[in-house]
Amino acid sequence: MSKVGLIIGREYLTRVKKKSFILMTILGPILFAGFFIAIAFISKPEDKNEKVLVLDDTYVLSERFAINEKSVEWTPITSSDIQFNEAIGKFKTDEKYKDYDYLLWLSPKTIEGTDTQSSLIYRKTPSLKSESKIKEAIDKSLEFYFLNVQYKNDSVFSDRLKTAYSKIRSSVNLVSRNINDYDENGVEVKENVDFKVQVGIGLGFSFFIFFFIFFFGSQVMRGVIEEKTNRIIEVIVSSVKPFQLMMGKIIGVAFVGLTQFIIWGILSSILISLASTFIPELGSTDSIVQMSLEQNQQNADIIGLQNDLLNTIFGMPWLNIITSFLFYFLMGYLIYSALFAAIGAAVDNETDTQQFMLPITAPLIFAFYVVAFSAFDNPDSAGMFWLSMFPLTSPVVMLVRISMGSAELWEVLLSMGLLIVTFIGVVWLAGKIYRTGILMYGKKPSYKEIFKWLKY
Amino acid sequence: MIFEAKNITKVYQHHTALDDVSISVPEQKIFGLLGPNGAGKTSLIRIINQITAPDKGEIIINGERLQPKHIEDIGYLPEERGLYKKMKVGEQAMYLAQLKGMSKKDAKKELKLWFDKFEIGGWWNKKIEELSKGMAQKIQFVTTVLHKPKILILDEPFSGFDPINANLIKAEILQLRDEGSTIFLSTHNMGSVEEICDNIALINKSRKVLDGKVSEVKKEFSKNIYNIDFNGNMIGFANALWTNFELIEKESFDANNHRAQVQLLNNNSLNSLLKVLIDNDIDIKQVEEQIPSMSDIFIEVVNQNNNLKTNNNE
Repeated sequence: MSKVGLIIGREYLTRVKKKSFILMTILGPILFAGFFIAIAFISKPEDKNEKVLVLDDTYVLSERFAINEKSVEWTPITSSDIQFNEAIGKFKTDEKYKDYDYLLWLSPKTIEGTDTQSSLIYRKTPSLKSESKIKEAIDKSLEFYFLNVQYKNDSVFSDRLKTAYSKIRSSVNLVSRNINDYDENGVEVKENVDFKVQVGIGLGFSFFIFFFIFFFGSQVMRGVIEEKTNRIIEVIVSSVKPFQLMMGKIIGVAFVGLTQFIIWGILSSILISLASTFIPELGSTDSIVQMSLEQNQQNADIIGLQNDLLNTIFGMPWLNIITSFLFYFLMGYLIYSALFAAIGAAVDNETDTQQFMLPITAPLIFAFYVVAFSAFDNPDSAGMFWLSMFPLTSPVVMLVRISMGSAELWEVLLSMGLLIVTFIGVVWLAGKIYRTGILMYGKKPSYKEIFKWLKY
Repeated sequence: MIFEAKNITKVYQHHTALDDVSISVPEQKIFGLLGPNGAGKTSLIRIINQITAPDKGEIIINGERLQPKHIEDIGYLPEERGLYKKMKVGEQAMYLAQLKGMSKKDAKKELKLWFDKFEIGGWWNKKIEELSKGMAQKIQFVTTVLHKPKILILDEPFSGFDPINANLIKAEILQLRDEGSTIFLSTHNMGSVEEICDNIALINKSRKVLDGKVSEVKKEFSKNIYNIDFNGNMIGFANALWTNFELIEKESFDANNHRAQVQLLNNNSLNSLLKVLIDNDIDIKQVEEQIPSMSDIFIEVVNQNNNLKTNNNE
């Protein structure tokens, strides 16, 4: 095995065998899954009738046909012949509709059996339970309408029973939107309604990267200081080149991070999928009774997919996001940990690191603040663009832009390219500081001295 | 010569650490690398270990210029040494051995032999932080010599050991030499230099100021002084000496028993001194040549050298 391989192996094994690593690896997903379950609990439905304003040219939801069993009240919007946009405007501004929680537009094509989207506009994000209740009420009404109107006098009904039945059982394709996404005229305010969720998720990843660059970067730094203070460094550098030792340490710790992510990913998805099968029951206990056994699976699907939060989450380009997360995390980590290693080599103890940490971490912290405060309001600003290009800030900024879908491919590639070039340059410089620093004891060096080390 | 350093010069930003230093070390000898603190010993050792490179000059090992493959031929016990505190003894020793190019299998086999020899087999799964300083030093010594290096560089190897363990280590060093290793011993403990070194070099203020076989160095610094114990009185003894013999010091054990230190001048031999004393009826009990200790030589050479430099500077 090559010597760098040996070093990577030692750095990796001593860290993953630590109790703190094992504890964090197990606790992480539990906290994460707990967070998800908590969201489900928070969106627990109140026991009240859902008041739905209906714009429905099919009359499926009119008094004649509508099934109201699931405590859903259908109220047709007064003036018919209005456009959906106008209806949204009225729903938003008109005083007499302010008691209604939802505005439903049932696409006329629904009764033709073609796959057309209908829309549900809400004032307050509905719980999974409320939404499934509404959806189920629509489906029941549709079923009733098909059986009692459309196919009532059909002489060959029995022949076409099979095809018709599949139509009957097909459920409405309902898309939920927030009323705040529309202005008074019912025009969409934002191009992308799911924008906030996407920015939120991007921010989450940014925070992850930000946090883990510090977390694992300072592990590298502490490792370097440890080797220096317990004086094993001179024994080791008589066997390997200092650069090999530095890279071995950095790569070893990177593997520790990746291991943690992979275990977290697997455990979290197991826990969440376990929990999500219980989410319907989290709503209320009698819902199980209400759902017939055969509908159970179907409802679970509806609940899972139709909630707009989850919908957005599932609809995001996850492959892109995960790939770029790994890339930006790794590159950001590599650059910063090389700098941290150089700091660790320059000082004798951890308290002396502060002075050098500040200028190095400043760009990262700055970028994180900019992202945290301006991502929602001004995600496409020039500032965000430049921060997503600058290699010391791009690991934190670019993820937000990618998950928002606002980063062009060339921008991502350029920023990745810059990161790689910077990585090579930084590692080269850090290697020089490291090489000299690890054998220097005593007085804390000044910037001037460190600058001289670069020339040795 | 298994090892030669030719005209090594190493200059740091503010000072010259080594100035045109040449040394050669014959195979299977223990070579004492001596010098006051800051003389440049560690700089030379780091160059031999390829931790730093010289600015001028070259190191020749077995006829070849020093190169990365020689790392495996060298074992190094630095003065400032330590081990990973949280790592287990066995794992750590295996790791260090593999870094020196040993296979896992060989490392395990050799470690077992050494652990049995030092009767420390039970420490394998202990962490270094659970061991005493002396115990950790033993482990450190084992990891240094485990890969049977042709050249062994030991910087203050006895520090941290009690006299019993220091003797144990001393015996191991001698045995390693007899088995074929060439050993650099850098120490301020002049007693151990006299005991085990075959050759020495003395470095002062980045320059080599003295080298050679220990026996020859001692002969060179011998001052022809003899301790003479006699019965009688000191005045009679002093009167018996003439200009070719100088009484340097005298000591009386009681009224009748005395010791005198006499230096022979003008190439006079001990025999002529004895003849003079016998002719004067001095009752000689014992005569012994005063051989300078390495410590005396060290101090003398360094002081002389420093004065010389100061004078030159003035």
